[in-house]
Amino acid sequence: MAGVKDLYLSVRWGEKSIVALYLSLISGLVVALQFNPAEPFYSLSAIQVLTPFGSFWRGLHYYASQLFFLLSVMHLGAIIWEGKHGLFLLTKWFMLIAALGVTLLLLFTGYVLRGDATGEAAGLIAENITLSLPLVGHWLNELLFAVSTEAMKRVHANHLVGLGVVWLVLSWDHFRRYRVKIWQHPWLVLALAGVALLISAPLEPERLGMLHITGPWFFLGLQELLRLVQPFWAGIVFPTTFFVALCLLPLSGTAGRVAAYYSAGWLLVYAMLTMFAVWRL
Amino acid sequence: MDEQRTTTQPRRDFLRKTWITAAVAALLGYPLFRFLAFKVPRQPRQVRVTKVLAPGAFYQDQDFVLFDGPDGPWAVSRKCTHLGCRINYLEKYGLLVCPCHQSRFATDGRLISGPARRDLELFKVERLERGDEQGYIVTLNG
Repeated sequence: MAGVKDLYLSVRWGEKSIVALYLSLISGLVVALQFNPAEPFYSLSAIQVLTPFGSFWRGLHYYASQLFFLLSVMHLGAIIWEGKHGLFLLTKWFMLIAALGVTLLLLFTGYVLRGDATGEAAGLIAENITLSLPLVGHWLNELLFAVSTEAMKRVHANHLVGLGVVWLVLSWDHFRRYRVKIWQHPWLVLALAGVALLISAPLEPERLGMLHITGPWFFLGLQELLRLVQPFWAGIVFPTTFFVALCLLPLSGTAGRVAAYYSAGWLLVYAMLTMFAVWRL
Repeated sequence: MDEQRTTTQPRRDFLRKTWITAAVAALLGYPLFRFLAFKVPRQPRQVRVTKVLAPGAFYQDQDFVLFDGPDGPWAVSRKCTHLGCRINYLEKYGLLVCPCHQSRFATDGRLISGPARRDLELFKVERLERGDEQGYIVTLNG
């Protein structure tokens, strides 16, 4: 166990995640120069099939973004395993956890922007979950999604600018301390470029009589829960409890311990729900 | 006395900043959300289907599925009443099924099984009989 821990903690997850972020930003900007949010699926299909190197740039953006999120989660895991989370001020810690939530929203809006069967369904589900939130749900939906009335307008603006700005505000104090150059991790850059060249990022056209749409991998557990529980409880309350528990991790004493146990239990339940969803496929 | 002042001062500063931030957020937030929530009123949209359906046949549009029967034609919305996903008609089973969470509906829009809790919306359909042009006009709500 100690060997595994040493090995895990020896990896510079944070640095690698920043390199993945750089690649995600560069490739995202390139894709955005060709992408038309008024005809998202048509536009992406054209980028994927017709545009020279379109598949590469889109693939690089897709894989780099996924990797950025995954490496950020690994970085968070390392901080918690080392017990360093207790050193953070609660407000700073809260901002960093919120930044991770915003990263997830950035990934999610990227899925929605595809405008394919999965993206369209994901956008509509997000809109309806947001609307189930009492009092502020309507406003929040108008700010973040409004897919059914505004199509991709709001999602595109948020993916390109809004959420990025929020992420930067939340994580700037943490982010500015680390100077990472993209060539510090050449193998990571080469691996991502290679994967983007060889494996196309997914795109799923709507088919007649389609029986099953699978959401983004990180929302499979939520998709399964939505089958069983009403949207407000499954889509708002359940994830919020995890977010709150993560925010309270740095607390000392019983509160911190309860938050840690709850977070671990929540992750276990979510993993099981995800496995159920995969089993259904 | 001085010590008390130094310990309470940061708290006062924090509270003052919080109040100012909340006030500015409320002042800017209201016009922002009023702006975002504004929708240009839309007229009901009419879709012309220029083919006549044989008994048992169906026509699937982006927003509805059209059927025809002895009592006249009808169209059901493809928007699932659970979370808004676009449902599909499974001809083999005579059912409308949501691909996201598998809610099932009868062809008349009636809910058969959840997680949806409401029937599907029905749209007004008129027969189109104008010279050589035959088919249907489906009126979608605005």
